[in-house]
Amino acid sequence: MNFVKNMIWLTIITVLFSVFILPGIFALGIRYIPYDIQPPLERVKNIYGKYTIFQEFTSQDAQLTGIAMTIKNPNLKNKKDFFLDLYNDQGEMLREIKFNGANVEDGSYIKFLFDPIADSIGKKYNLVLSNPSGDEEEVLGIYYTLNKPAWIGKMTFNLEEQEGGISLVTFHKPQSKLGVIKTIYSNWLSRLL
Amino acid sequence: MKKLLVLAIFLRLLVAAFYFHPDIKTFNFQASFLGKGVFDIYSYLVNNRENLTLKDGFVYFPLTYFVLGGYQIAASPILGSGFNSWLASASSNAFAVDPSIYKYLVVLKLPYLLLDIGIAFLIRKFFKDKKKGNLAFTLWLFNPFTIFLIYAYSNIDIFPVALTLLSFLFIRKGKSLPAAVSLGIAAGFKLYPLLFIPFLFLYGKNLKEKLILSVTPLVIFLAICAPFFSTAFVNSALISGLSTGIFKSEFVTLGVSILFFWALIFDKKMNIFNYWIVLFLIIFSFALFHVQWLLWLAPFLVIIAVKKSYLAILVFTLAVFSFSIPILYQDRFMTLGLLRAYSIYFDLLPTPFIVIQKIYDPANLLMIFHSIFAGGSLVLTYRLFKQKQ
Repeated sequence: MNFVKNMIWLTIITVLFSVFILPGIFALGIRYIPYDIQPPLERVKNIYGKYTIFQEFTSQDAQLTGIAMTIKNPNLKNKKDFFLDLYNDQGEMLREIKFNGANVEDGSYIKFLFDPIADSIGKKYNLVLSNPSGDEEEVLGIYYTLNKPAWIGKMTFNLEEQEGGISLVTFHKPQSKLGVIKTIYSNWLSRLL
Repeated sequence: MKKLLVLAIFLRLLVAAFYFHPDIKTFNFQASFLGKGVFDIYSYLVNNRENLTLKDGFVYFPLTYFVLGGYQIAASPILGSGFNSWLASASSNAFAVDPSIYKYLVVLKLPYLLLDIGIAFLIRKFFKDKKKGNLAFTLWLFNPFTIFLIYAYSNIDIFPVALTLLSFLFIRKGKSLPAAVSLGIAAGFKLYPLLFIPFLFLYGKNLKEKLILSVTPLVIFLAICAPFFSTAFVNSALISGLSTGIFKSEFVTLGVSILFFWALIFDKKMNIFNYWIVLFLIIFSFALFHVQWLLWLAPFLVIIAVKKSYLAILVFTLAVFSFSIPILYQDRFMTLGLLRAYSIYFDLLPTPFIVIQKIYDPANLLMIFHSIFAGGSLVLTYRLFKQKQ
């Protein structure tokens, strides 16, 4: 009888905690938040050797701290270093992030994270994706979309302007942990009510 | 008791509305083709894979398709016009932020709620003592394990679980034919009840009863599947990982064989209820199981925990460890992925597997948990069989 009574209380507490409190606790662990959802993955451009991609975009928030995109690496053939270089609109390189193909499963969502750029809101940036030591057998496929949002600008491949833009997501460091929790709960409630 | 029932339903609706597992979207997308007149879903999905937004095959057995599809047709006025495009959406983010997601989740899980409450009433019938029956009823309604198993993981196995429990109730009342029919229908949703057929054959008191208990479920299962028999059906459902995964561990085959030969040679007065429990304890001890499978055993363990109250703590401990095992899988939807209906920001957090990997080998921890579960199962098996003697 006592066991069942204890189980009633355990169940009530567990459910209420899991539904109302747990999301807030997990939210404390979020170190960066995306500006928007990822645009659709429609087409692929392969980068290797001299074939690189340039992509313009305008940061929609402050504290830009990462860029994510989906990359193909069929059968993990590419095991070489590849790079994302970030430039401001003056052409100065701000960040260089190195990744290794051995860590990129085919079709995985790769996050290039870097130290936050504090005053990034509203500013234009260029990113360059290159796979300089890869050959034709070690291509990396970068997903792009023809239905890009306005903040994703011109895309250039092999020095030629292309239709569409990389299906990228920008990450921004939140102003505070409490801010993230508030955002999550307010989004949840606004959809609920 | 009524107040407890209302509270139990309220808690279930909370979890049903806010916890999301992608399986519910996948199998409801597939079941939605019933409303468009598709009868053979297995061949349809294979033949039209190119044009479909979600390309998975239908891994369940035909009754799942017809029951879910039929329910969707009945519930379509509540689900509304945007429901089909939500189901078909392949964008992993767009459907999670859809404001209607909570309504969809509650409506799609309502059949689970009916069966869940139905199971509580069935469990009560296993007890002659009304007080103990009410305790078991309450324990089924108030334990966090089954609530999360059913509603957070969108557990479609609730259909065969309710039917297998009904089958055991018939066996208990000496009604072999209805018991066998229930088990056959349960297999029409999912294959696992057929695992028990060899034990039912041994349990039959004479040849006639042995044949009723063992052949009838098979015949019913074959009759349900016959219209769909094709390469697509065999590959998608019959030999899918969901059906064959159990026997990937040779220890499962060994353990089940020992149980079978024990029943065949030594056990002249089989307690068929105990054999069902031990069969699945062996499977969960040694196989890489899906979290949803734990429900197969749950109502039976609740009955045991009340009938033999000295085993309640052991059963509770086994439940904790059995739940901890899938949490360590490298699968987001065992843990953080379930919170996507709150916010897609949770995608940015590492899974327990990744976190543990930084300090210890999660595969090793998984083995430790499996071993602890196996040890506890062995003790429970010993107590169940010793009690009988």
